[in-house]
Amino acid sequence: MESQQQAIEQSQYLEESFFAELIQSFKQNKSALVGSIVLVLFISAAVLAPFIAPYDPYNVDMSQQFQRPSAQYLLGTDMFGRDILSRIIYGSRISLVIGLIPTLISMVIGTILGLVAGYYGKKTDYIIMRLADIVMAFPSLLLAMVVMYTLGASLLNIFIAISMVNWAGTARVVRSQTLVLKEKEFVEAAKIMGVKNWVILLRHLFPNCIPSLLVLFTLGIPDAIMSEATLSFLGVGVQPPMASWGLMVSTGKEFLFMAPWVAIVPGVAILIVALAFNFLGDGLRDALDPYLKQ
Amino acid sequence: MGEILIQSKNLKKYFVDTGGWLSKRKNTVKAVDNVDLEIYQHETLALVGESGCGKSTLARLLINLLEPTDGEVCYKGENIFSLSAEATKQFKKQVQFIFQDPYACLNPRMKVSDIIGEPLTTHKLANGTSKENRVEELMNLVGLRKEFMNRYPHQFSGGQRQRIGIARALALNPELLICDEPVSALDVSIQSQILNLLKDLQGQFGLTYFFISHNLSVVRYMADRVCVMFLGKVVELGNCKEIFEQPLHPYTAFLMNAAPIPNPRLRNRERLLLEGEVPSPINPPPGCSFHARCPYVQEICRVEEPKLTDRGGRKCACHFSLT
Repeated sequence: MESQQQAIEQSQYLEESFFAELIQSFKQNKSALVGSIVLVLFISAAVLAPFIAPYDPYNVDMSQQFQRPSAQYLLGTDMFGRDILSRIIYGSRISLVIGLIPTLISMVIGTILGLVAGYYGKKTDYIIMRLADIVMAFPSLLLAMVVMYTLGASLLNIFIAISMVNWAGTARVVRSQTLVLKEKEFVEAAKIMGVKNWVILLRHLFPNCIPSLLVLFTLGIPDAIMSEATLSFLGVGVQPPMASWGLMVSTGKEFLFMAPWVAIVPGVAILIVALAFNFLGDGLRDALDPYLKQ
Repeated sequence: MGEILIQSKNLKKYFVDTGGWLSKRKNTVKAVDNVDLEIYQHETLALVGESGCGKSTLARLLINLLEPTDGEVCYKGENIFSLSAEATKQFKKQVQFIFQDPYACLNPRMKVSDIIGEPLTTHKLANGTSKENRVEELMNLVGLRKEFMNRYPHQFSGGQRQRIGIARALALNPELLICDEPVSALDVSIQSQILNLLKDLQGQFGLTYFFISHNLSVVRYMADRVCVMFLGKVVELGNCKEIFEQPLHPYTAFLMNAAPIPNPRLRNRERLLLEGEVPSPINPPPGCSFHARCPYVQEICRVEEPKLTDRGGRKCACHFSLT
């Protein structure tokens, strides 16, 4: 009974130690810590938008056109007299959704194709990896724009465009991991027992890829946010009057000399969030890399 | 001696390196070359030989993990490479493997109960409580406390991990266990524990072992018969005691001589040591593959390849043979 208690305590200790180690590593890595804090703020802004936005982001008031940042309008107003701070807060929702959903979709596609390519090898591998090479050889923005032009501009089509471009990177990483893992003896052991191939993929290979996937995920989100901003800036992304940061930069650029804050504020917002995700991704990668541990 | 459990006939495995589609290079490594071997029921057949001589490849051929280039492996009289899907499933239940590296052979992201229970769920023999009971029973059998069930492999020492591997191999009540250097990665004190565990289990369940090892003292302790391999070929096969006391093939003699002697008082006797390098398996020399290093080499050895022939209950592949 006592030994059982001990065993349980020890296992809890070890479970906790993983997160403790992560926190410890983040304490030393200031940029990862700052990144995490910014992201918590960003996500709360997106979730709580209706409660914290001071104005209605869609309310047009031509009498308040191009107000400078002031106590009344903290970040000023745009050409329709809409409060920029409120639009930034609502825009964070789109950025969050655009960041998460296409990244998730492309990760799922990339993981499945990478696992299959790495595990089965030979022709399957060849076909999948050449497909990935083709996708990667195209300028990704161009490919996304082609998709947007042919399918038309809508939020769903942005998901499709970004997913189509981003899966190849994930597939490559997962494939290379699978190539290493499938030579491991525990995979051989499973084969000897007669475990089916897809069960080996699911039970033995996929769980061992998760740390890398986590890092890829955090690094993929800012990419997707940037892609959406670029597509919206070029006019093939989110359509007005929706408040997307890229779209705000795009419409603000016409008034860059008269009212620079209209374009600069959302631009800075994109920069901060993208940087925060990158910092977090780098921090996670360092924390999960056994070679960097002392 | 009992009945033949598993038998290889003219078994060959060649690895071909073409060097890519632009290269004209074509190298063939004969990892296993024409191996005939029988393993009898309830015996321990040890396989010895230096690194890279094809021991592990042979083991992987015997359990259908690799496809042979030529030849067959018969388990209870049936060729395992041409079995039906159902029969293959049955075969995989009866033959299990114990690995060399106790760190790489357990999935780091699975709990011990899932690792040991995986063969049971795979063959739909048990689940839920019945699986738990069986896992407990197996852990008890190999000397692990059942409280460890919900731990992960990284929480165990090398010896304990090897016990987990053994428990997993025993889960399906196999007849044949192929042990690929099961103790070479462990501390010496732990080695003896694992070896004794394997011996006990053999007595308890009537297991047959195909035991690969570098360590000759381990082989002497475990084996009934010994098979010596050199460059993908069997050079000597016979009773363990006889081979140790009176090796027929010069290579076997040198191998026995190279083993360290634990008693320092006996160390001052003269040692026979081999000169030269192991010939490359990519382009093995013609004739006897050992001729380049053999001190007793004659003209015939450079030309003609010796066959594995019967020498009074033993088999040896040498034109002359010692004594």
